Amino acid sequence: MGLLQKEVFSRRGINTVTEIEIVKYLQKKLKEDVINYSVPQERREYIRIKPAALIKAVKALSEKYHPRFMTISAVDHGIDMELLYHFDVDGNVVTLQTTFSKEMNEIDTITDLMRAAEFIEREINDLFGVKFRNHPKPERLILPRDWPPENRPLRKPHEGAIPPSARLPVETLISTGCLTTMSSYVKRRREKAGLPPSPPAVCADEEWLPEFQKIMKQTNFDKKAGYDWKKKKLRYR
Amino acid sequence: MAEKSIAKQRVLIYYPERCTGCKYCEIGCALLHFGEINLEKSHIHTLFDEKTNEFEALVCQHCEDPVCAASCPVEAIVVDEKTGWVKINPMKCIGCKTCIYVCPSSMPWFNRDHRIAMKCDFCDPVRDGKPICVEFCSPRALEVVARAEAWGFFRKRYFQGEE
Repeated sequence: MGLLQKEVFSRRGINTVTEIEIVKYLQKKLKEDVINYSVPQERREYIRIKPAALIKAVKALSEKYHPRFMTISAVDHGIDMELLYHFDVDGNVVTLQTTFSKEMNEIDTITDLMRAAEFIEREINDLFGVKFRNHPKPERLILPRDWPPENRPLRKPHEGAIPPSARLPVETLISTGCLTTMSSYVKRRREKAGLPPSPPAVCADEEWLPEFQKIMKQTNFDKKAGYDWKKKKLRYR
Repeated sequence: MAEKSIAKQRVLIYYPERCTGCKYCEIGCALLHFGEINLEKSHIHTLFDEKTNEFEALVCQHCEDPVCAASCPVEAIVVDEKTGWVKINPMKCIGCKTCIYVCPSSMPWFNRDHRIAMKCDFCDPVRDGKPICVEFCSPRALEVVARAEAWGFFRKRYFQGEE
């Protein structure tokens, strides 16, 4: 902390809290709703929480500290939408990160707790098309009134990292462990090299599939590809 | 207004040590009154003095005996008898700017679109006298208190306890 900053803080009578104090307090209040956190530098915290626990987190913050609401940033990840709620807690910038799927595309408004979020949420709704539940004034803010509602300027198409031609193979690979058939050229080359014509596939034995899928989950391949384990297909296609 | 009701009148007070200069009060004011984010169209302004490193808010004090009302040639500015808030009647105002010149802190401002003077109305008709700037201010630098409490606050802050 610089000398000037210290002087200003002492003059303002601000009790400085450390980064880890805030994180531990939120972890204690929210328990398993805090997914992870990181403190990359002094006076800067990122806390990833579940979207359902957002109101609870903001309430918990304002019960103990008096956070200043700074702003909300929205990031479009293609298949997911990420909202970052920035708060200033006695000189610490606390960022609550929430990620929700674009299929849901809804989150609770924090307008009743932080009134200044009203126009920022309206702007995010304009540009990204995110719906805020129980918003007091869900109207246009910066887009013209005759702007088509399905067209949002900053919203990316609902697509993951996998290009269209590779989506079907990836889907079958994750769900069954089998890739598409190999060309005869590859088979001939394998025979020449003294190998069996096709490699030992996971789908050859049913017991191998769970282990294969476990590796997929451990390497986060299913998340990167955007695979839905319940429906057993990609979330976009 | 009677002496008692003056003491009960609700006014804004401002804590400069809590203010961070985020200007959300100005945004909220312009958004409520004009539906746009334009800081020039706000009835409240926050300033930063680099010499003393302190903030100051320019906000209408809703004086007990307002000079703006006294100077208005068409009697467009009146003190509300029930609440004590000083308001400009936009239908009567002729846009002569006299109130802007006579006000010590020049709180009324001239709206070029409507060609009339405008000032803080305590968000009265829309929000029933609960100013939006107070709600938008999350560091709680703005507060609504009774006039009697504000007297003590200002005496302490500007005269350092002098009676």
